[in-house]
Amino acid sequence: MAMFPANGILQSEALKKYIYETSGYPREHKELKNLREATAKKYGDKILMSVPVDEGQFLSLLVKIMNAKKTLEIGVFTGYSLLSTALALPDDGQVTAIDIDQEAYEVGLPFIRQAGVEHKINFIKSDANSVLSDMLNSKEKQIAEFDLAFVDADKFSYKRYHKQLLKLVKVGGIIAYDNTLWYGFVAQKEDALPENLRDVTKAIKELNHYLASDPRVDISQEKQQASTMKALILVGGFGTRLRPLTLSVPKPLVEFANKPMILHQIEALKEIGVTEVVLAINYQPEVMLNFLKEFEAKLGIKITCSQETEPLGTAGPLALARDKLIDDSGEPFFVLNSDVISEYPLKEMIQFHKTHGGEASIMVTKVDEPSKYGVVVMEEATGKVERFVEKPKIFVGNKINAGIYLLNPSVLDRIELRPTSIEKEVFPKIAADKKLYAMVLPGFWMDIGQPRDYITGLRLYLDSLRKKSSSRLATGPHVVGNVLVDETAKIGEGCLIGPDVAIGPGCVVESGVRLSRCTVMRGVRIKKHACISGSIIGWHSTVGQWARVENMTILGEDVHVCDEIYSNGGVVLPHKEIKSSILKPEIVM
Amino acid sequence: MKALILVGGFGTRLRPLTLSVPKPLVEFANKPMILHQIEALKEIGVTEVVLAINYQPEVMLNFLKEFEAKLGIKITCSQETEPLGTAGPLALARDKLIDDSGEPFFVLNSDVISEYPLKEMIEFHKAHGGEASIMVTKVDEPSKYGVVVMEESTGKVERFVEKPKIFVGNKINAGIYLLNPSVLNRIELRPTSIEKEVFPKIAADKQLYGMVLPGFWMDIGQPRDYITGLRLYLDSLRKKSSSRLATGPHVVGNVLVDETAKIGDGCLIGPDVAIGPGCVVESGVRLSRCTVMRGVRIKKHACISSSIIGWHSTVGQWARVENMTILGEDVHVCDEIYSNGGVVLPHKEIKSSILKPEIVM
Repeated sequence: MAMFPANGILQSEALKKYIYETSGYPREHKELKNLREATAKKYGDKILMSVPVDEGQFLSLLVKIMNAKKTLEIGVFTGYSLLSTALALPDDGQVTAIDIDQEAYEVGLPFIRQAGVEHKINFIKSDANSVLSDMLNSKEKQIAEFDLAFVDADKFSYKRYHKQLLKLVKVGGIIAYDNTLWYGFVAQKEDALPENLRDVTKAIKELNHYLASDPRVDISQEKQQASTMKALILVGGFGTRLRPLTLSVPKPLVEFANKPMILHQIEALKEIGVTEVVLAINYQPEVMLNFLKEFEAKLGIKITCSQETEPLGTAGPLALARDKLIDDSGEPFFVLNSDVISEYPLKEMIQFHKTHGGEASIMVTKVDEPSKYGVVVMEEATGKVERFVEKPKIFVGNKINAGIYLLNPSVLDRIELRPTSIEKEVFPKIAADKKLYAMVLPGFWMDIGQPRDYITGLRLYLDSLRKKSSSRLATGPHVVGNVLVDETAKIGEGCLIGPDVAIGPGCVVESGVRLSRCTVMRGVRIKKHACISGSIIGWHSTVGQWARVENMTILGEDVHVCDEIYSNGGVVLPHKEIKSSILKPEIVM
Repeated sequence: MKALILVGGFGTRLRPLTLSVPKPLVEFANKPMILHQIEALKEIGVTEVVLAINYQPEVMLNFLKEFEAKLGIKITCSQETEPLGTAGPLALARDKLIDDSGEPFFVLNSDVISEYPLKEMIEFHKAHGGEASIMVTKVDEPSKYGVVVMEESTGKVERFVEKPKIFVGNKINAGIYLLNPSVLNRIELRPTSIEKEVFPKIAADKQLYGMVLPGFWMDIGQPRDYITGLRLYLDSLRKKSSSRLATGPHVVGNVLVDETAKIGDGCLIGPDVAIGPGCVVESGVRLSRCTVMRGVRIKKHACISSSIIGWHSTVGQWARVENMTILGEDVHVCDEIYSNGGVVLPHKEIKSSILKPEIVM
């Protein structure tokens, strides 16, 4: 079944959530809740076929306003709207419910019974057309008898039902059609729609037009709120590859281009409407949680942690966070690897996912040396993934897993709560079922989990920033190439900064300093005439006058390089003073 | 009576151990370094200990609350906002160190282990009636240190000589002082060195006396000296309360084993080994001149010498670990691996041998 959009043009996840949590769920009848949960459990994704809580309430309101005693429901599924109706009807009320799928109805029936309203319901297992025809042909008093009819069935038949219902529903009664705005697709150009949804959209648009032109009816179209979307970021462990920086802060909080690594991803997710991000972590939760509280407030997105007590690999954390990732909406959720930076074309990924209708989508990126990685072998035209090959000895392809996934909730059923690898165990199975599709990541990609790639990544990122919003980059006679400077940093006279430099908040770069291909973290002071390239200078460090720092020198927090010192690839742990030159790459502890 | 312990800074020399806990809390002979000193002070009747620190106060404070209760001694922290050297912290803690009693107070350097003959020091101090007493210890190579030149018979200090080129004496500052409150009047609240600025002035006033420290002494602030220090400490323990040392056919020389540690069959442990709480030493293991921290597992047939194995680490079967290998917290050395002086940061797995001394990050 094709996936429907999380985010059509009408949708506002936050608003929907507000409605559900304010007046929806708190007022939801217990048996409606049970029915909803049983539906989610059995049908997973297909829960979209059921009406959501606010629509059930609206229907219930209509029944009461109408003082309806006899209603008709076409399309029952598991019976959420049916139960809502039955609860709203008076004790001697009657709802005739028609659906061809009795099995689904039986999922909800126990709850209808428990609610004590089964006697109000007359379920007919049949296609609706023949039942309605029978009613019309019958000589009995069914004609013009219903106070209200609710139609939530196959959209191609709506127009036909309308003709029949006009005769079966009394004058002054209500005919309600579910989902005539069709997730917003009705307002989009046909060629912007996924192919498999074009026909039904066309049918609905015709219905809307038909109804609007029918003088016998008054009409009103209501927006339906859509679902929330969630994401999981695999943060993982100790960040040892990014030491000595990660000796001071957990890796996701290490700044990249003047912003904590994880914030790049959280912002990209927020931008496409994700309302809740779960961080799968197994180290230093307190530090992370403090940081997150601050950002939850600023960004207006919910951020929670899912903490592993034992390392669960790349898939296990998804199982651990299961309850946070799925809700009744049946929407897919994102999974991101926290070390990755890219342009995050998540909106395009959602479209790609809807179009292929498979169970899982994965971003892949092209690399020059695929033999070092896990290669994804896929059908060029559709992106359908055939298999994964770890470090292939012969050429099988040059696309590798970029660490960005969009998964249907059903993927969680494939993952046990134990250390599991998503590339080695889970994806190959989905690929074997021909349900895994790969999209080639447009734009840049880098795994910045180690210093060398961090530095290369900055170059790619600033390149991209140049194209998208070059006003954020520094300009002036002292600037060469792409340079990012925090507004609170000070740069002295006669400096030459760039290319590919990021200077953080509160930094002081004294006069005559040369900086290229380097990152200068918060609070650093670079003294006069110093020359730094290809390096990372950690928070609150200082680099002395005429010092020369190059070739992957990484200074941890609070490191002080004395005047005139040379560092060739020194990797210095926090709280150290460098009083003598480091002539070849080494760790200073 | 009060005391100040100079805890100081980041403990970088004892990395990678100090990447996991602040230095005073690193265990030495199965007991946090600072506890050795606090217990010695408590034993001679000190009622309040002030820790002069400038790093990670929260961790220290939590630990201390626990020990305040257990030991029945008051422990407070005096936190430097900027490094104050070796004398500045005394000025900072002034109000805590002196009261109306006019009694002298102790100052200890937190890296030092010794027998802490503090009672004898009090007597010595009273006898000479000077303003300050300082413990000195005899060393073989005094030219590396600051030498205290003193009158043999009385102990009166004449002068200090930093790293003397010719022989002037072989006693150096042992980092244990007993000072009258008046000494605080000589110290300003700024970065100050007690050996270079304060003591020379007191010596010039002929008010400073040096007492030769009986028994062992070691500055265990770096791994090599930590390992040597354990030998000296266990030697001393053998003389004083040998019942605390382990015995049995598997024991050679002085070995300290926590009661919750388990040792398998066919092991040979010692000399100069300390095994911490919850450790599991599987069968056929050889340990000599090493410290095994809390929660470590040493697998079968491994052989470890002159090394320190950090908390919750594991050493694999038939692994050979020697020559100043220092494993940080949660380091896992795979089976059959060889480490020659590897210095490994926390949370690492060692899957290939380390053939010459290097840092693994």
